[in-house]
Amino acid sequence: MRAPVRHLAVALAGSVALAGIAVVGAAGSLWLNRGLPAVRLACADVGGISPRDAMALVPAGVLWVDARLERDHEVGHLAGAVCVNEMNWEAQVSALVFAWRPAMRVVVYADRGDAGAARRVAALVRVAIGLRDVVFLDGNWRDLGAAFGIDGGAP
Amino acid sequence: MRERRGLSAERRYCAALCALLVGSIAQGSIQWETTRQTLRPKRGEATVRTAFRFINRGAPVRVRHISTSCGCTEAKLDDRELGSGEAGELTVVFRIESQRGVLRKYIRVETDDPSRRVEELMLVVEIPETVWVAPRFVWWEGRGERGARSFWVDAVGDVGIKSVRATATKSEWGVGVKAERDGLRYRVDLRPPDNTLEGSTVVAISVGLKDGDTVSLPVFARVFGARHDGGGRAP
Repeated sequence: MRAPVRHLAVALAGSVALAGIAVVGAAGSLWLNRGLPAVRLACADVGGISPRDAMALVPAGVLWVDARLERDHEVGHLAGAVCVNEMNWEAQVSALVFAWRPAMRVVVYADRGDAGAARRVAALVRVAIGLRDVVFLDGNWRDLGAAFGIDGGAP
Repeated sequence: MRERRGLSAERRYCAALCALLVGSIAQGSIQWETTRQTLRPKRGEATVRTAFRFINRGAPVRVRHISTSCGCTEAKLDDRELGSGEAGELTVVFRIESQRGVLRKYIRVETDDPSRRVEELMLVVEIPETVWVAPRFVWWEGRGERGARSFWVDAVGDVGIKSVRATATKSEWGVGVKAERDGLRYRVDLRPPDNTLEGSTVVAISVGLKDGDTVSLPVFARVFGARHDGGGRAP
């Protein structure tokens, strides 16, 4: 009975040691590559905001960023939203920065259930473009349509 | 108990049959070999080409419209009338232009197939980044705040930087480039004219790489006057 227990303990200790080495290796790799754009974007400190909390924003104090494709943006978007997506963001920077004013909070939204895309674009806006107060909408942007208005013909 | 089991098996059979039926309808007549492709162009390539292969497993179908999510992507189909059992390919040409990083381009194929009118194909193009410029926007707020703002040009990957040139579209803006780590990291300092109350400029960054390639990127700059129409946030 003692031998199996000992073997189990050795196996557990080995697994823990291997996991520790992997974690240290990953942390080291992350630190060495911390300057890479992909790492900077992945580590960007952007938080989410629920539609309920977003309702408390003052229209003049928020800049909506629509992270969906241009064609979806044209069909319907929150009033005043600027289209900036992962595919074409370099060409869309100028529209964003000339719509933005100091003290505005940037709220990035995408399709319902695609908060990942909204988060990635929020990271781009913060890290690559340099705006500081950026969050992503963790919910359905259409829930905000009644409060902020929808442009572009969406029902 | 036995009756109950029999009923359950029947239900399962019906459910499987329905699922198969619905599945075959949802798939549509045109079956694509793949609806997503990833391309990794080599450095220096201006265009990349690929093809999405398909076969029409149903009744004859007509392709009504093909559109792409970007002007840089062209999708072409030689014959838009697809007979039953006919195979073909949609050729796609992607122009890299000045784009970099991981790009996703969509190709939308609309047909008169009642079971599936639209198919969306995705092309992922991974263009190696060579230069990273950030932030792309610097600004000054309020009167009297006229210190220099900086942005950085970093070499990414294994190609070093040979030279960095920065030119503002408005010559009265002060621009200076300083090497922080030669060949790897450069700082660009930008200062608006002393008497500017409001204004903007675009700084064209031209980065010469050690392999002879040149990358050009814009950085936007703006001075906001004392009164700007941005509001505060609700508490």
